[in-house]
Amino acid sequence: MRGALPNWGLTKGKGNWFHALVSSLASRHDQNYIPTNFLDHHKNRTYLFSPITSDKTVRMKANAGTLTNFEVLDLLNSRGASNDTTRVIAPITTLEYKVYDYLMETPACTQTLEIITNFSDQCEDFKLAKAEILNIINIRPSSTVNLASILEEPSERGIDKKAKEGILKLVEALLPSPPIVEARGENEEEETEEGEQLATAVLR
Amino acid sequence: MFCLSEMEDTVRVPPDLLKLPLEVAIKKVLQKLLLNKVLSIGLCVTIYDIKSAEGGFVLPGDGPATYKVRFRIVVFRPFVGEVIAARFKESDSNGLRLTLGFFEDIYVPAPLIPRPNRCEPDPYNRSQMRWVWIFEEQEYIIDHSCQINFRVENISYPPVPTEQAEDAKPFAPMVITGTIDDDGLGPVSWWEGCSERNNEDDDT
Repeated sequence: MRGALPNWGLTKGKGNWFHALVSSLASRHDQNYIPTNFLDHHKNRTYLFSPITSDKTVRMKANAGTLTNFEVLDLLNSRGASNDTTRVIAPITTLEYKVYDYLMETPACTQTLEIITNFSDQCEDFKLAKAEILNIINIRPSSTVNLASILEEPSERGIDKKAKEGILKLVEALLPSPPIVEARGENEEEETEEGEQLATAVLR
Repeated sequence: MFCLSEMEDTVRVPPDLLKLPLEVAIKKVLQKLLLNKVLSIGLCVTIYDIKSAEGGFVLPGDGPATYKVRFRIVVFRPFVGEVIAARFKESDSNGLRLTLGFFEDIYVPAPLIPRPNRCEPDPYNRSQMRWVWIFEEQEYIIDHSCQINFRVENISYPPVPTEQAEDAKPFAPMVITGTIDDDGLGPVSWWEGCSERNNEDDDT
């Protein structure tokens, strides 16, 4: 180990940097502490960490919250993904641009934070699981058939046709229509408020 | 589809980055370390924020400054049962392969394509097979004409292979298995006519 200094039992305190240095070195000596960035050189490039069994090297909380597609898109937009047409100036990596391109084709690009919070509040009546609400926000089903793939065991939970229609009405009313990806298939959304999206549709 | 994960790690900031503001420098190092890599929790897409960074010691005999950083990242990790809109990439006799742009290892194996179906050599593309669903005397082709909705069945993280044949497919550290065998799943064009019929039923 480099520069092994004895641990003089100094507490980890602010102030004297020397004290702090010693205590941090002391913690390195315990229990096979291996700085993870050194591991990088020895591992396959695509697989950074081997399945993490010990939490000594990297402590983490795997799920600190699920994000809707809109929230990720909002994050990328806040960093300037939308403004930069050259894609060189904004501090966004190629992978992030690919995610951005994908998200712009989903219903997420027409949503706002108020819309989705409003929608999830109003969904309370239907007793949907969080995962189902997330699915609905991300996919924006336009018919009972689309909703069928999202809802799990609707008959057993008492979600009958009426409830499904109720959910679809809510979707129709609150969530704006998705963007026109291919110039087909979105024509039935004509009764929604987002007229500017439809202006670009090629009506068949 | 996306989750936040909170992590704590030791980060070494190389001396050439120390002229930048601390947060930017740490973010650069983290990006190089984590972005586009598959961790045990999923594919890391972007650094969300840096909650705290402490330390900054320069150890004897070592150039980079070492920080203990607590940060959050956005990982792509769909949950089982999530419905995702993807694009067709290729198909062969084993099944379909779909892509999201930033993630391309989504497979729909043959048993999860709605039955009855048949697989035939693609007339437009010699090397590929084409899957066709036969329903009520009508044939529905699966190709790249529109978005394909699929539901996540399983996510697996195959272990890194020690040896690989020369012409084997590049190793995929994260593989999603999906199904399109349900109402509302599969190419979006399959269900468009159906939704209009459903709307008429609901109105009467």
